[in-house]
Amino acid sequence: MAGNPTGYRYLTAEAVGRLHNLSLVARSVVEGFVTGLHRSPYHGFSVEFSGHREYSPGDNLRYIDWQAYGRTDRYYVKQYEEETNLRCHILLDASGSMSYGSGAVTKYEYGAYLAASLAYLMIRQRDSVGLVTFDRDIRLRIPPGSTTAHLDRLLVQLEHTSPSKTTGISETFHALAENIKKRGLIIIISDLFDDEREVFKALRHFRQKKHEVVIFHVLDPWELDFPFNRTSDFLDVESRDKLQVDPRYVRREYLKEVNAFIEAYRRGCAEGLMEYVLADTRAPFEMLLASYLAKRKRLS
Amino acid sequence: MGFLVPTFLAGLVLAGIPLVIHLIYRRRAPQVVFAATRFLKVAVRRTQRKRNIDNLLLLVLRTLLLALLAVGLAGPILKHAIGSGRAGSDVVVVLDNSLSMSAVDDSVERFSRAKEALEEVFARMGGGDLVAVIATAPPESRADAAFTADAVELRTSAARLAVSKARGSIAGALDKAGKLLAGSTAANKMLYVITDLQANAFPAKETLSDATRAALVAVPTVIYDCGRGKGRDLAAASVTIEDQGAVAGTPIEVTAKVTSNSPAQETVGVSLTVASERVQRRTVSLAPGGSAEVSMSVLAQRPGALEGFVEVETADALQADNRRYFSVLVRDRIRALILEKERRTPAFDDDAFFLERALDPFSGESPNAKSPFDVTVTTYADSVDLSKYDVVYLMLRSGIETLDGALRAYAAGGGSLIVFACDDESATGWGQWLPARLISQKAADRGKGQAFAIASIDTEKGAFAAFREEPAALYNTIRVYSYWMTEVDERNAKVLVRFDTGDACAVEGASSQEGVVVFALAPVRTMGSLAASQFFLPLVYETTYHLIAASRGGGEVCAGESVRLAEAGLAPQGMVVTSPDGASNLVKAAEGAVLDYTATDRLGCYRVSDEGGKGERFVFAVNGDEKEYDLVRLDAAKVNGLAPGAAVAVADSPASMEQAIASLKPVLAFGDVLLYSVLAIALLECLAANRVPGRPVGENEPRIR
Repeated sequence: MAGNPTGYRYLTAEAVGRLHNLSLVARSVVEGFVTGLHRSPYHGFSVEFSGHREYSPGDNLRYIDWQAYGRTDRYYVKQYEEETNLRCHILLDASGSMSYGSGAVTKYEYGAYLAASLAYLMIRQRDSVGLVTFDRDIRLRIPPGSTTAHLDRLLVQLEHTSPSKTTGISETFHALAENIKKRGLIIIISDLFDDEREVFKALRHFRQKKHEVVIFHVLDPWELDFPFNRTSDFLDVESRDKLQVDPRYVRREYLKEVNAFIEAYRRGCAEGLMEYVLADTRAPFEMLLASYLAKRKRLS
Repeated sequence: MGFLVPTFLAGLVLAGIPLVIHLIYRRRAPQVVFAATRFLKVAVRRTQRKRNIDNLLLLVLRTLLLALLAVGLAGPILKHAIGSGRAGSDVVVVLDNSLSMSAVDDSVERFSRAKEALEEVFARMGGGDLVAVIATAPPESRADAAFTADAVELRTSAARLAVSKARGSIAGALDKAGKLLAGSTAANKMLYVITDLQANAFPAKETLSDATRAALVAVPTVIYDCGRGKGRDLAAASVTIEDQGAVAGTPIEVTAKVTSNSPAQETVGVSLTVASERVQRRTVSLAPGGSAEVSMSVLAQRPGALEGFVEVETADALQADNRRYFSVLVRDRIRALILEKERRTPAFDDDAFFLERALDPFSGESPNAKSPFDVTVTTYADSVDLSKYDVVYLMLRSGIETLDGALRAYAAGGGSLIVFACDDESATGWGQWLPARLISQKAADRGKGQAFAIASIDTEKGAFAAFREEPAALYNTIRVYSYWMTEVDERNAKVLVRFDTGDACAVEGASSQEGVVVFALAPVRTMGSLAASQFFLPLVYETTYHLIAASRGGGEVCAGESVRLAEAGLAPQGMVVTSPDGASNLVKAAEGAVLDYTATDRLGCYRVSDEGGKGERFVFAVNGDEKEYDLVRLDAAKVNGLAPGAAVAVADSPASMEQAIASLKPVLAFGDVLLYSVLAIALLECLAANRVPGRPVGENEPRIR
């Protein structure tokens, strides 16, 4: 954003201020070797004692527990639970449907704000964060990094990306699940306008790879409320298909469908131990994010 | 069904508007870009059927509403619902078939419009409706009108209806209508008066009976005006005949009164036709609303019926009043009988002497000179057939009782009897002689003297010219002794008068077949005086002519009226009446009954003769009702004054009849209120359904980046 004090369109001063005292802590263990906020599944030699194992040749003699040797007359080495950095992948939907927006921002813009803020937050807490934008394919993939320069790269890429093409979430996610080797945090920002069952399969694929999955389900208020009254030709934003609709007749059924759609994701995520956040673009994203992070902190 | 304002039916095309709007909006629906169309597709699929049905219903409803609105504004009226909106009405139609209805306005006869209106009423009949038609003029008006639901019968009767030349009465017809409606138990009643609103014939409200006024107030009334704008209107309004006894060889003066109610000055030709030959013609100029008397004369050349007519030769709206018939029975001479008690000598003392000489001064003096009077003098003792004489002069003295029966029969049979009540006889004495039927004096008036002027003595004309030289007090102050005021019946009143001075006696009697005139003084004194004779003799002549003219019988009657051919018991075996078309009708009276002739529906001259007899007994002319001649129309606004408080509306066409009926509705019917309420609500529904609440699409179009 040109007038933004941060110099980036999608990283606002308000967001920076709001997130100043917040942190995103991984709720499950994350793989990494850099000392950080998050527990690592790899046992190394850090400050938190994990247990003993018998010495094997090649082990650093520094870690031999001499007290144990004194008691047992055998060599044991001390093991410590390693605290390492979080590897986070932000998956931002840049399909055509994300270009829709009834208010000040489109869904994509809203998602970009969220992504930028999260990336800033991660890097500020010395975590690694990567960015993937996708539609029916992966359009851009930036591997995780934790430097300021990396953040700059992410933010610039967000600005240079615009939504287009049709959505193909499940295929993309499957591909990503296979490609992301180390487990970490997967943040999905999307309107999820795809076949729910296929999307869930893909999401479970992430979970099978031990990733923690957080979904920001971005929807426009007009999509949520359907406030139309006048018979109109509704053009699909992706396919440009025309559908004449008298809103007075379809509103109830529409809302029922939308609610079922949201509820399906909410329930599916809960069952799959994934976090689901409904992001109504009416709500300021920094508020949404702050609220989410605070809640997450409490639960963790 | 009819409509008050059919123009609004053009609004039916508006019923197509919803369809047009539907098609336009279908093609030009606003476009909205949307992302979540996958849910819309499902929703549309589920609601499509309901939407289609609803849309169809809405389209039909809106179309229907607009159509109903147009129809509602047009003011639908159920024709059979005559004012009430329901069937089962009792309807009385008073149909004016008087002579003025034959007038032609705008090339259409008024009666044709009347029949058109009548058919319109019949067309409104529904199940349970009863209709009665009452004509105002005979012969149809004589029929007893009754309600009937048989439309075929009504139409058949209506087809027979024709304009009558007889004297009609709208008031009488309204009275009949009032009685019919008063006797009706139907909840809905209606009165139609189909007339040309001719001012002369239309009744004033005071001429209507209380029952009729009550009926008019209680029953909605539509007055259907068949008349139209004012056109040329001329008439030969009347014809008067002046003659000298209608004796062959004497002139007969025919005076016609010609009237004009044309809107402009008229110069018209007036002709006199006698025996199918036009004998004279005059031209007169008539101002609007003016009249003129046109006098023409014809010489009565030979005895017998002298028939003719006066005709206005200029065509106008009503042709039937342009010709006026007259008929005079011309005698060879006036057969006069002087009946005295006895002949006296010297002649100057003889009652009959002066009179005989006055009537026939040439008697026995000159064979070449001939008086109109053929005078016979006889005495009471002589046996004489009075019926052979046109006039009998009776010198009334005691002893007349022997002729009492014959004299009564003669007077009652139409004979002209002039009585000289000689001064040596008391009034009581000759009063006892007078025919019994003539002395039904009113006890209350006995002895009272009532003075009034004889206005009918015109000193400018005829024999009464002698009066000019006399002091007006002499003839203008005539005392009528009510003692002598008698009545035979309503039709034939007799007035016996005399000068209150007693010096001379003159008589003015009403026209009658039973002419009896009483002079108070004997001619021997009156005529013996030279001064008195100058005044008195013309009176005798005029009185004689007057009585003879009256006794000619018939004279002139209005079409449809009966003519008395003979009094009760005096009718000969049979009498033959020859009508204007030449047809002869033999009429006979029942024993002891009067003999009247009623088939006078044809205008023209009629002759009456005894069966098997030679020559006419008398003649008469039949003309139309002169009240119908004046086509001046009543202001329609004044019709409402006929029965104050009545619900009266005026229509002048079948279409305006709708409006008239509607205007008679006292209040807006509940059904109408309901209809308009539904229309209003439905209209609001239409507007509301098309309103787009919320964000106007366009300004808040979802942004696509």
